[in-house]
Amino acid sequence: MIDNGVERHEDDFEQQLRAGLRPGEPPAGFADRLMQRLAEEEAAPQPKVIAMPKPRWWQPSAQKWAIAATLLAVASGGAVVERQMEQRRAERAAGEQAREQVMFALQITSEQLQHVNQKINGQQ
Amino acid sequence: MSVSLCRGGEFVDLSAGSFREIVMQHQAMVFSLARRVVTDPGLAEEVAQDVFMELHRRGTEVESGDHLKYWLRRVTMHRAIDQVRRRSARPELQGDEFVEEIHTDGAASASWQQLGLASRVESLVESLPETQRAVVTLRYQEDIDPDEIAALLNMPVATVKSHLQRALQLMRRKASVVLKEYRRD
Repeated sequence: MIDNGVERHEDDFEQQLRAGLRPGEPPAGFADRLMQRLAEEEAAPQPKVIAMPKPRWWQPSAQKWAIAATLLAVASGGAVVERQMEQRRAERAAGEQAREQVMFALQITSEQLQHVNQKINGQQ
Repeated sequence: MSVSLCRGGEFVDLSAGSFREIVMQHQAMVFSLARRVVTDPGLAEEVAQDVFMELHRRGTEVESGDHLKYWLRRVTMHRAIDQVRRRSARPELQGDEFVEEIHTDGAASASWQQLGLASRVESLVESLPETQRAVVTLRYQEDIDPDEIAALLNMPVATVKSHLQRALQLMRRKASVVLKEYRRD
């Protein structure tokens, strides 16, 4: 006997076991009984799927209104958020511009002070 | 039921007419496997019918002739072992308990030698615990190697080999004990 590519010798006992264990036929009419069982199963009424009861107000027209209202709420909410973000962006830009102007003014003042200081030192 | 194509291009037709042919072709294997494990012929027929019913329900999953054979063996063995465990009030026998049991089994030994080879082998296999019965049946009746038995029964190959070794040891011991009883009588 070959087992996983390795030859293995079976003793008499194993050979007798192999010879004694032969597939036996099932009782007569096995296939007929099986086919009958299948036919009965296929003919049997399938269990009904009971739909989950819905409240009366949940009618198709109400569904449409509910969906429309939800979409409107989402859209208007989105517009509000967008407007707020736009406002914040504008405020940030204005603040940045003001900061640049102040820095420029400070730079001019600093230069003038330095000029005055040089004049005073020259007179002395 | 539909017709499905396997990876290698082989067809398995599970339409209503062909299903009967499949049953006729494999009923001996399925019934014999179930019979070896559950030991009771009536229960074995019940298991075998349930296996084919499940095949009919899940036929589209079968991909080829080889896959069909593998599927039938696997489902039959699992269903048969489950059936034995459900019906058995006591746990599976261990080796030592088994030896004690066969020593008290002398009454049946007188007729044992008069049985034919098939009946003697059947008697030996039936006396094994169900997992060993399954492994021995797959190995010596179906001629399946331990690797494939391991895949069929969802167990490591080493466990399959250990079950085989143990089963052979137990059956040899039982055969020699019964033979001694017979000679003493």
